Amino acid sequence: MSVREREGTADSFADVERLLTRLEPPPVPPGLSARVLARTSRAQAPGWPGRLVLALLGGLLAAVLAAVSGYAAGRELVYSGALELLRLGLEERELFWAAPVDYLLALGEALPWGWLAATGLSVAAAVVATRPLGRAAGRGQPV
Amino acid sequence: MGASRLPAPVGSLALASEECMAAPVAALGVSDEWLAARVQQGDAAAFEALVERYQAPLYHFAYRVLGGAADAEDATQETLIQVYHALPRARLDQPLRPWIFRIARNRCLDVLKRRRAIPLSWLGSGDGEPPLADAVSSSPLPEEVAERADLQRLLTAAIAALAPPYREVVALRYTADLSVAEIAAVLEAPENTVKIRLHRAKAALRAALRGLLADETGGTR
Repeated sequence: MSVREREGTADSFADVERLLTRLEPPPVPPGLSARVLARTSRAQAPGWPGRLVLALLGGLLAAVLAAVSGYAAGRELVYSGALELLRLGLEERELFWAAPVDYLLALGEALPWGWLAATGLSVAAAVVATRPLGRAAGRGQPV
Repeated sequence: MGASRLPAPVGSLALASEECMAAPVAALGVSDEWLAARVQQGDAAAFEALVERYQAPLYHFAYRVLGGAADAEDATQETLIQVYHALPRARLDQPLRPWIFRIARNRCLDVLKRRRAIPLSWLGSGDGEPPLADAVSSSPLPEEVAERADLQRLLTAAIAALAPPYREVVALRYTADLSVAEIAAVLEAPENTVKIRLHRAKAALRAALRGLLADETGGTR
């Protein structure tokens, strides 16, 4: 097609344009949107309770892990002497200020880092896992 | 109903002001992208508003492309359900309308493929133009065509006689009211390709209308 032919589109087809602007839309079948929404709500229905149950189970599991690792971390804090070091550091400040680097190194060695990390991660996992429950409660309806 | 409560059709949509909250979302000037973002946040009422907004244009488009009410209704339903499933992963930095019509076009092409109504070579991006069978007539149609009582029947028949690639651009432009740029986005083709296709479609429509009128004249003799 030539450029001239393209440029002449508007004028050369004014008759067809006029007719097309008078084209009437066919009537939309009644209940079309209701049928679509019924199908989408059916599609979401089985998934929603499943997601809630998963969120609940995930949250419970993470909470149990947090409790176990928290208990273990606490026990290790006592056995390793880290708790005693912390108490001394807080109660007798001059001990800390006398040799702060040595104090921190000793504390770093005594702290049960693995258990503390496990506890932190479990708490974070519990918060993330139960987030859908909070959204459902706020919304009052499934999506 | 209090100002803090929403009317039934819009459910839990949270809008900026209480005045906004008191009106149905479908009637408000909220953008498609805003509604889509609400759907992504899990708002079922926002999807309902999108369905209300798009059911008619999608049905009109599918009706013109497929040429039948039953197929058009099925294609519209399938399109909206696919939109529902795809929206959570949709990119909202791009306009939603061409994306929705692209889905509708694909559903219609599936129906046409099942009918074997189009060669596979026509399903591409539109770089190669489909052949135009009828000779292009350059003289305009008689003025009295626009005054005919059966104008809608004539136009419907003429559009149905177009090859699918021309039928779809006519449907997108004149029944779904998309701009050339939006049609280009739907077809994933350059705007010039769309302009050429529209030009050829109008030429073919004129030829088809002339043919229909000639058949009638011949039939009444």
